[in-house]
Amino acid sequence: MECQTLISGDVATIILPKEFSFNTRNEFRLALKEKKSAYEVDFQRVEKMDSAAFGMLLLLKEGSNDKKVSVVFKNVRPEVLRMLQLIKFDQVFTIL
Amino acid sequence: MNEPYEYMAAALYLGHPGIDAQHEILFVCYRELMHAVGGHGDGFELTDVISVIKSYVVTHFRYEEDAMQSTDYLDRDMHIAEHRRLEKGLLSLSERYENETDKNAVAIDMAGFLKEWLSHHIAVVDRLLAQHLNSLNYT
Ligand SMILES: [Fe+2]
Repeated sequence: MECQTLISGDVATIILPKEFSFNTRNEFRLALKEKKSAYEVDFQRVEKMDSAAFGMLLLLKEGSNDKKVSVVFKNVRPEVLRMLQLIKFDQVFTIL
Repeated sequence: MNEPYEYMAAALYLGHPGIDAQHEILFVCYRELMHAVGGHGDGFELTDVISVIKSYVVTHFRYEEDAMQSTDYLDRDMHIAEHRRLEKGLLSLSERYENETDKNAVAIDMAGFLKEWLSHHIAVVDRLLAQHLNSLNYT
């Protein structure tokens, strides 16, 4: 399963794959080329992540052109949430 | 499917899940910085990678410093002083990045500084902290 991006106005919804890892890096990088002011990251399918994926999420947050973009995570499973808390992403991102 | 890439040297894993996972992300940032410098067209924006490094270092240091504070860690002052030194070094490199025309050269300096600092700090200073936190089951 791959990364899917749905665009609606100035909001991009990125649906992450089951295994979100270094192997998804190129797809994710291309999704970032859609310069939007808000990103919703849908974790519904995510079962496995690695540190490369965490780095990509931080890069999404930084956005580009020096403007901070809004990033929210949704549909995060409890075991993935625990991982995000371990790396303090609950302090960096809005997790719905 | 590729084999998982090793970002951080095995010797730098300290056996504390939170600290290890956060350190791994800093090494991912180092790798992305080197990738962005290459300008091969498959990297993230160099400026974004540098912003990520500056901000995640702060998040990570805050975690360690809160942990030291709430467990009355004896080597706290020395450890925090090292954190401030890294922040100062990163700040001066990002000022150079803003002002100098050869952005790649500054980014390479930053990558070298980051890797060397992290490797030493984790191997020596964070190792003692991880032992202390593990002895208290502090997560
Ligand atoms: Fe530290």
